[in-house]
Amino acid sequence: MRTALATILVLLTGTGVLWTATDGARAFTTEGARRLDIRKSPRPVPALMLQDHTGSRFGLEQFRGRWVVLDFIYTRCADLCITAGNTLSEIRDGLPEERLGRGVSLLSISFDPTHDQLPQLEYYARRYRAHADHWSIARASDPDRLPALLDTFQVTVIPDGWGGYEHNAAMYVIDPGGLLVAIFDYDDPSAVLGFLEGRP
Amino acid sequence: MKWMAGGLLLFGILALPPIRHAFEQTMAGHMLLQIPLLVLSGVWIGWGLPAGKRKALQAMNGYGLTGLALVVITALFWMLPRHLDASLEGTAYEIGKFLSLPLLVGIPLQLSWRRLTAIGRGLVWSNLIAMLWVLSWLYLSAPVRVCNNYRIDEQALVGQILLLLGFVIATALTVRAFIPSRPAGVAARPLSPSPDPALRKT
Repeated sequence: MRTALATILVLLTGTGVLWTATDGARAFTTEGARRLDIRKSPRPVPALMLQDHTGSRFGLEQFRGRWVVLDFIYTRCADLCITAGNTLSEIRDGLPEERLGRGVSLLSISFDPTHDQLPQLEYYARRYRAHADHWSIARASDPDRLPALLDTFQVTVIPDGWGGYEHNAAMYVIDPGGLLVAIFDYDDPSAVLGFLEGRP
Repeated sequence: MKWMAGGLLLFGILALPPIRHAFEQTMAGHMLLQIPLLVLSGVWIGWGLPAGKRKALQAMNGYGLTGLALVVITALFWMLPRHLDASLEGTAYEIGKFLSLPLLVGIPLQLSWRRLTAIGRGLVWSNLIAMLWVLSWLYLSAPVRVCNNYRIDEQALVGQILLLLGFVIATALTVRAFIPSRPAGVAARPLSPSPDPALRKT
């Protein structure tokens, strides 16, 4: 009898804990959890001074009033960021012309500001035909502030042992009010386009 | 008492910051060494528990069921990638890991294992194999990382080790299941007269 009670107690508590710990069996990885979390409670993006591939300096808050699709890159990246770069290109090509650069801006921020100086950013911009009026390839002008930004976006960057980095690549959407509202797979442009379509 | 001391010593060593960091540096070290060793420390502590304490615990552990439920649920919790990440990024989760694996997996496992029926033990083993292979398949085929703190090649390595581990356990289990574990030759000897009526009939 005591066994039955104890077992039932363990199973009930345990299922409850597992249910809560996976957000109701919806998120099993850190990546899944943060996406769910951001959809539920959008968070403000911290202020950060950026320098883009044309050399001009501006703050992230300059994008207030329009949607921003953002990814994190480093220009030497040979795998994920290429796909992510192509995804951003496809988003650009898929957006209605009147929205591009006015209602919606694209932004790639390097998390390797020591290596990624102006020439590297320019090269990257050329590779994707990114024009500063709709797509800025940028680095943090003050690299000390970068960790706070990565923290907000919950980007974990670890050296891959070959001089590059391993990072959780994704597409981030910031709303006109400066809130990070959604995270999408780095290889799924149609998901981002679909999300933006109903939101002027 | 020797077991108790051994278990506590093993736990103490695993908790030393340099050892802890060394194991957590790689995904394989974290999942396949640190976590099993923490469980092992609990098993040893369980072994060394004073008789009175064991009796009190076993009173609510008929057929080892309560213990098995605890083991399965706690193991499931730590099998989720997000909790491995969390234990690397937050102290609370790390402490939780170090306490729950010996207390809620190791000790109950030791207390319950021999109380389970033979079929129950077989079921646990077969499910373990299935789980190892499912995880291995997941790790080998996932195009993205399941843990943000580990590289994708580490993930693939863990996948390969899990595959191999499942294979080794499956082989051992098959051998155990079909070949009686008596010393060679015993079965062939004629049975000596036995007081057991069931045996005398043969």
